Amino acid sequence: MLKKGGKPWIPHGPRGSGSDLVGDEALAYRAAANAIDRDLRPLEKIKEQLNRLEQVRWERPNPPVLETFRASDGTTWDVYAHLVELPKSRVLLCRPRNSPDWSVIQEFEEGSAYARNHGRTEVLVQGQNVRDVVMQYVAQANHTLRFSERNLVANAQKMVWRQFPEHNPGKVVEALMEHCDKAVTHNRSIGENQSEAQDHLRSRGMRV
Amino acid sequence: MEESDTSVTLEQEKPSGLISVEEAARRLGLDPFTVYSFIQRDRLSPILDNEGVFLVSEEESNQLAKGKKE
Repeated sequence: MLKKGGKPWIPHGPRGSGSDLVGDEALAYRAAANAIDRDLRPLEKIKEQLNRLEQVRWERPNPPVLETFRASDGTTWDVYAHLVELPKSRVLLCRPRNSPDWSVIQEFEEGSAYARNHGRTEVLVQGQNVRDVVMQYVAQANHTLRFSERNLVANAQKMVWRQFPEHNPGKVVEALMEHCDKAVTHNRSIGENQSEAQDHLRSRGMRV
Repeated sequence: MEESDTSVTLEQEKPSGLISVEEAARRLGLDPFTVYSFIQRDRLSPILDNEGVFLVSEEESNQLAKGKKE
């Protein structure tokens, strides 16, 4: 039971949600929303970065090289843009030195268990048209975002049904889905359409 | 200031040999988002539990961490 000033308090509708939950429903919603917030915030940040990538004009005649790195196979890569910053890795737009092909590369945190055994960098998408390559990555990342969101909602749903079975859990879960969907739904007008432009790309496709 | 005597936690007991995506990410030193992308690219096999949550095999995750799995 929520209390305010030591007395029972019935909230009316969760903040930031279009639903009309009341009383115990709102209590259950807020408890579950707080529980998933730590996992949802990073997804929101990724979504914001992906949305920005869709607004960039990528076809520039002489883009400047921001930095250079040497991969474990000896290839020297020129970095032209930082696409996405994650807490433990970053995604870069690169070209091998003296090559016309563009690549989206993920660089992992040095010293991580994965990087120690697989190398610090992995190519995610390659192709000759810079915009197609970036938009292909954006489409894949948006797909991953939806997958992440779906699992987050499933976890929250499990918790709500277990811990608040008397609090109209179906309605609470519906509101949580709306909350998560708002956080990670991207501008579909560009990113998803790019998945059709795969013909000229050599992509490591995603299935789920 | 409101008080509440209820809380929800996402930490759950898992079937033996299975771990959450977040736990796999922690062991690999990666972001959960990256582990989800590995699942989508068939680098890890997702296992759906009875309540619709994707988990991953602890053994498979450990193999990936040790470089014994591509």
